[in-house]
Amino acid sequence: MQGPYGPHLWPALERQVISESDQSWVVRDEEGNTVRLFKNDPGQCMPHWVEYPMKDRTDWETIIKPRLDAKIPGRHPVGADLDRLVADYAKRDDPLGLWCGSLYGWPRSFMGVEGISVMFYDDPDLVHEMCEHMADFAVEILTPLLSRIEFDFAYIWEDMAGKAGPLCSPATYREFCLGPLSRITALLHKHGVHHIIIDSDGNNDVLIPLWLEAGVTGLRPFEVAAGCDAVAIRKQYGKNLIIQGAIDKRALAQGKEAIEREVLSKVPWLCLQGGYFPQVDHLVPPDVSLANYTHYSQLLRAVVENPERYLHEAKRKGYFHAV
Amino acid sequence: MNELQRYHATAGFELTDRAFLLPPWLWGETVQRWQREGLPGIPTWRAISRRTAKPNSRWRCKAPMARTFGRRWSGR
Repeated sequence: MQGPYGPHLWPALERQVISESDQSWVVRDEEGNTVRLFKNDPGQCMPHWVEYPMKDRTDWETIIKPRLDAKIPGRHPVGADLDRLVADYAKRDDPLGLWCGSLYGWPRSFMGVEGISVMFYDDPDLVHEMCEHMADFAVEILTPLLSRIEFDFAYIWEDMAGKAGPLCSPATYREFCLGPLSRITALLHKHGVHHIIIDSDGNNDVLIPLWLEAGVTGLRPFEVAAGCDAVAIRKQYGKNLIIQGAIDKRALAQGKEAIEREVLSKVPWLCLQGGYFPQVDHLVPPDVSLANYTHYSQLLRAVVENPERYLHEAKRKGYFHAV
Repeated sequence: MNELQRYHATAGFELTDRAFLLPPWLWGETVQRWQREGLPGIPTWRAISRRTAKPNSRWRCKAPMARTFGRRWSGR
């Protein structure tokens, strides 16, 4: 389902082209960001950020907060639309998930990394207010859906780490985000959604204990380029943490030998432990050929169907060392 | 075991015939490259690009089977 439904800014702001040159457009997008879109990037996947929509409390109260209001019509399905969804989803034989918003990721998107980092100190009351509001909003918008539809998993989007670790300290995350996050996870658990996955790129290792404390049960995508080691994390947290991802996207560009080494070095063992969803550790980049991805996909399928055999193979080739 | 059962067994650290396979997760440029290399039958790149994969633009994430490449796409 797309369109107006869900935890995002609604109604959207009007998209405006502010200026245009031979190489790019400068656009104010539907979420209030001013971005430069490059004409030689057909997907316009990586715009250059010029300005964020929020700088202070006034922006929060006039631009952002009114668009995080669960009572705005069209925000979630009601009446016959909801009945139709409930009937449709009741017949499914594949898992159904629910996006549940964000506690750090949204404020970061509204203000930028520098903006939110400064705001923690310059106006902590405002950050508390934002996080509490976002939790209130998520609870209000999700409750009627959770009451009618049996979801199998939930995603919470944070995207709050780089190669060197998270964009704020664990202490800061605890102070501002953990309580509101716990209210969302409590709602999910209450409605039987026990697989709650944080989606956060980069190396989030030091945040994992906090997320577990808050009722989160899984993390994705364990970017290898950021130093994530899913095998070590599985050894550390055992069955307390679902792991999704962890297959180094860079290996897929290198060729069959690199793909085999990368997959066999972790996937067979992790599959045998359980709680592991193998996947590339971020979007597959365009330097990966179709032939390489096909090889990866076929190997992955074979490994998950017979992890014992491939763990033996990995040990024989020296790709995996006994735990 | 269907995909729903397989998902819960995987997430629950239970015995399963195989781990649940999440759908491919691709940049738009990657899809365009693969189409040039002969991949048929892919939905528009936008349907599987970062933009539609992020929570700001979508609240529901349906994760169907992804048995082998190209057999079924999620639209995530």
